[in-house]
Amino acid sequence: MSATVKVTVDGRTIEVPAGTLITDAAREAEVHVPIFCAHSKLPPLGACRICVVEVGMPKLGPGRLPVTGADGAPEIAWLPKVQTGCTTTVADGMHVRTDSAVAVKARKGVMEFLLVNHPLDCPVCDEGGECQLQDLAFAFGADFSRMADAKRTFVSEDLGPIVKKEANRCIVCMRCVRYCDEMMGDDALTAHQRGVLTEISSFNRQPLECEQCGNCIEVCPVGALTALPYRFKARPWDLRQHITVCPYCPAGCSVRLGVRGMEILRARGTEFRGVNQEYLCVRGRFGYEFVSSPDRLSSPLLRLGGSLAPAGFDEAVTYAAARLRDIAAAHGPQAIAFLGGDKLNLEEQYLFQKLARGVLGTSNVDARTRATARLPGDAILRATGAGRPSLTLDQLSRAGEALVLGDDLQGEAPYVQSLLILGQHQNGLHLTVAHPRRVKLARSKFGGEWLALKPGSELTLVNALTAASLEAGVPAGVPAEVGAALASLASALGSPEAGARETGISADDLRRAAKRLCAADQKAIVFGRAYTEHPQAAALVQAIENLGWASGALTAKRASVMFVGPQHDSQGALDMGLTPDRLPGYVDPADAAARRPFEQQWGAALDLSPGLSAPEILEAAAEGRVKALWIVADEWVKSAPDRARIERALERCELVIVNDLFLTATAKRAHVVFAAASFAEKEGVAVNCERRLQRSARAISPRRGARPDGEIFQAVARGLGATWSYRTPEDVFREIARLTPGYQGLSWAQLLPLGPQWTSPAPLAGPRIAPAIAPAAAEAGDGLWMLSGGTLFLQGSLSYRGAQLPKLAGEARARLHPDQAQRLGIGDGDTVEIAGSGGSVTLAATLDDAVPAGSVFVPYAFRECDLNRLGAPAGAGLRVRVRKTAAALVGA
Amino acid sequence: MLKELGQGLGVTLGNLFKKPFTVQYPEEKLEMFPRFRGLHILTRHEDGLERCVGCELCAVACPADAIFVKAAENDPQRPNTHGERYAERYEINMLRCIFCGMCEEACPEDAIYLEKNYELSDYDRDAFIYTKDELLVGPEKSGYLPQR
Amino acid sequence: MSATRSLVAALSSDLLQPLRISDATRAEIEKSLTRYPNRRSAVMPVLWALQLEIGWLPPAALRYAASVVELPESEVFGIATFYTMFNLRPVGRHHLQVCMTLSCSLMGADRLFRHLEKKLGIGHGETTPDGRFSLRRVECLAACGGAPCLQVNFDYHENLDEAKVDRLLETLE
Repeated sequence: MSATVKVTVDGRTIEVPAGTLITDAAREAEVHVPIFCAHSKLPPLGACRICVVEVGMPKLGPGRLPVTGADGAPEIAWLPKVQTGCTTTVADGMHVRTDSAVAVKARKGVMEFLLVNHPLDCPVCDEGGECQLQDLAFAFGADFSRMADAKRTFVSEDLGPIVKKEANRCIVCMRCVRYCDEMMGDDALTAHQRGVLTEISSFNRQPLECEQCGNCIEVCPVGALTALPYRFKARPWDLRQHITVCPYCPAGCSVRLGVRGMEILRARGTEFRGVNQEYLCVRGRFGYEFVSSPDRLSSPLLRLGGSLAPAGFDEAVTYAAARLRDIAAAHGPQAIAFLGGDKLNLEEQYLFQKLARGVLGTSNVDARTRATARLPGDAILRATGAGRPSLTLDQLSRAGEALVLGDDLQGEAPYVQSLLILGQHQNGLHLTVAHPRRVKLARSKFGGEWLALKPGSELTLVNALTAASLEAGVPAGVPAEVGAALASLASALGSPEAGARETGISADDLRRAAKRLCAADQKAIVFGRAYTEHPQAAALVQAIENLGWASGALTAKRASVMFVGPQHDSQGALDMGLTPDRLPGYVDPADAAARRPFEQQWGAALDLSPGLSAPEILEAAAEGRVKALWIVADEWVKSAPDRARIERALERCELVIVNDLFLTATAKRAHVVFAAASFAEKEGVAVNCERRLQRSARAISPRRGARPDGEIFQAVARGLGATWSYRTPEDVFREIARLTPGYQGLSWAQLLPLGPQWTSPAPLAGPRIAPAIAPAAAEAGDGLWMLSGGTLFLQGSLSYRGAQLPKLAGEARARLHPDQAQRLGIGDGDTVEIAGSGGSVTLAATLDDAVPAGSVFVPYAFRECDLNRLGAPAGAGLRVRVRKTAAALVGA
Repeated sequence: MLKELGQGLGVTLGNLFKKPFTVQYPEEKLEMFPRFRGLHILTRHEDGLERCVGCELCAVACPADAIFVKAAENDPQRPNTHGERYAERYEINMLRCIFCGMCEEACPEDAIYLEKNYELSDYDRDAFIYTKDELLVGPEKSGYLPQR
Repeated sequence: MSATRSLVAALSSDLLQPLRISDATRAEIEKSLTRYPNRRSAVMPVLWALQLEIGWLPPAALRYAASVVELPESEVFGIATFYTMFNLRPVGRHHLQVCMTLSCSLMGADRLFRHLEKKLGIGHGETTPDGRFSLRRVECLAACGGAPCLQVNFDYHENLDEAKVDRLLETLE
């Protein structure tokens, strides 16, 4: 069979790949075939029958030659019955008719059947106006019903806090059931009963025990499943729809915000658009609420006479610029540090570090506020292949093997998790998950391998996997010097047996995992904040680079090492040099030739010192060496690793400037607070975990008194004497694209609707293979391992400003293995005190056998629970003591 | 010439004794025709519940974009309508309204009618935005539907 | 309605007590698991074994079945609702199951069902207060030759009419 076939749809002949479904071929030929049950992410089912078409093949005469008619065209032998387009694949020479009398009559018949029991409640249905059944009833349906009998009815149900079910409207296309199964891996929905009584519901009609993503609502072609938070809020034609980029995780999903007046009423995905298409996780779908929160700052604040008071923007800018100038003059620019910026758009990140480096002359810039140890600015770049093309997220779901290192993707990047689940279901993807907890992807139903390492042995595990990979020799295709370095690394690492003891995973399992990774043709290693925010981050990322080379993930054609960062634009922050020792594009400031374009453009001589990273800034500020801090879009009081130290640091600083949407705990301690615009109120570019640039759109105008961060930076830079004159983010992007290696040649216009992934033909950094050894640091001590990580429902200080997400997340809980809890005399729901070297937190305990014994798990996103009160982690992690306490639950 | 003058005055005199067409507004008011389209009313069911379910079909049908509706879910204990939803806010901007009656045509619930009230003057532009409590008929007119 | 009450009672007792399964049923379940190439295929025999033991399938039994055959709980619930032979609520001593599929329907099953409803004072899926009878519409019993067919617990009664049913009910204590 040839790779492509010719097929004629309604007289239009097109060439499509063999194996294409008729519905997809028709879309290619721009012929409309209606669809209910088929979905691009789901295997063909053929449940609803609305896509019926007439199909025929050329008639064959003697000698199997096509018979031609009088006009010379081949005669077509039409199949006697219509076929479903969504389950039939095209064949060479196939003819399809969607507009013949037979097809139209069949479709009308299907439509009549679908409408037999469908209620006529479109005016009060939330789907009315954007309902596919409504549209098709207009297009193909009859304008009367021949049914005299009463319609069958069901009682409507609330399936949990998100999903409202009105089964009367259901056409049993099974999209929701299949999507929940194939894509989410939750299997929360199922079809009850049979025949005309079929009804979609949950186990025993209980509230759904699932990720509450609402994708079942999204894929529902009718109004059977609707969103309770959006219930009766608006009709579709009231809404202005703006497609922008979700502000939460680094997957960079496109969200379609529905805006009425100045209020965002809902967020949805869009089929056939964005990296995510229709998919949105619970944060993407319901996490927009903070934008219209009444608690938003409505003007800049200045600390005058001890308390923060509203001030005009110009006044605040003048004050901030004057104070910065004074401090730079009195203590040198190194006394000023810039923090945060993971959540900003690319242009704003660029301006932020340009303000620090080009205007003030300090290299103390770091976006990784949560980091506990310094990580070289190019470490993640080298670990991910120094700018080699990254797999797209779609390709990731088609990989043969995916190794997830340390991250619970359910919390960090739900879409990446869903793609891996989809890949496992549909494309034979095999998962290997290295995580001390049994996270969702590690469940046996996904058929993967769970490397349940002991907490604190992360580095040993990656090294052992590298050693096991190198037992088979150096992979083919690596450069010669890498090969030599790998060979000497192999002898330095020894055998996996040593690692097996420490990690608690048998050497055989390690070897099998390494072998699968090396053998897979298309593969990915995924890592994220669990390792980059680890006290041994530098060694861990080096170890990942070693593993990447040793397993071929950095050399094989369809393989990638992917960094799934902590925020939606963490990759952009790295690219834009929000690290103390790298300029935008990972340019080493020590390299005179490479830094010259920046010096010329910025009109300044750069500070060539290595600068201070976030943990070092924290230390220096606490000791009084750093006098001024500018913290952008970050609740540093909560995210800094050590609470006592951050309190001291903010107290000792002469000037603290904060950009935020809300008066956060950090902002309350600031001297200048700038009211910033939210993601929906500004334009800009975000770079996701596949290094794809996407333009976000402005859906509403900024809240009165709030300004985009980029405008604030520009105003202060001008206050400091710089001659910046950027009118739009596009101006900034043009400068970025001119200066930044890897971004060169990119234009603003090509970033819509889906921008390209940036790559660099020449590696931006040479390979470095070195034994990854943990720095000899203080031992972590004894006690339980404090495990923390992302959680599905909350991420960052913005997520708990709305109504839905905190409600879904519930209260913070300390999760303990039942055996561990029994040893400590703790029961489910008991109040426990977790004490570390720096202090303690008190919260309720939950028993969870997914958490390993010898550890306690608390997610860090909860508002009421500040884990940094426990003290900074040391060695390979943080160890705490847990005891039952009678004390009342004390928030924060 | 006198003859013409007489004829002319004759017409004047004749009209002087005819019944006048004008009425002494506002003391005296004309009765409008049954299908006259004046100020809108929102009607009630026989049991006093509102007919309007907040579906916004009137708003989308309105060629002058004069109608604003915001729906909400009924409290099952104290419902406003028979169904699940009702119009929390229902506003018509009478400065925009062209009294075409399309809202009435579009309404699937017989909830909105253009009635005979034409006295729509005021001193303030804001006063021309008629809110739901001004449009909704009193409970004493439950079940009332204008003749069409 | 007493059926509702007994259902509530049954459900709450189900929540309070852990599922107790006899060793014989456990052995039967183990045996059925070995009969197929994968565990999920054994879902029907496992559910049937559990129903034979308990008399109906409480949620705890469905959860147990799901864990045994490694299927999602929701899917097992869907399967249990699909087949009319599985009872999702407690049934009386005599479970009257009237076939409503085509042949029986044409031969007067509907009339028969209405007669039973009137006579016993209960509807579809309900149980008489004394726990003697439960009534249910079911799908094809594969007795089309003897339509209309009524299954009482495990026994078929074919070629029925109202009079025959009345005589039958008298024999059932």
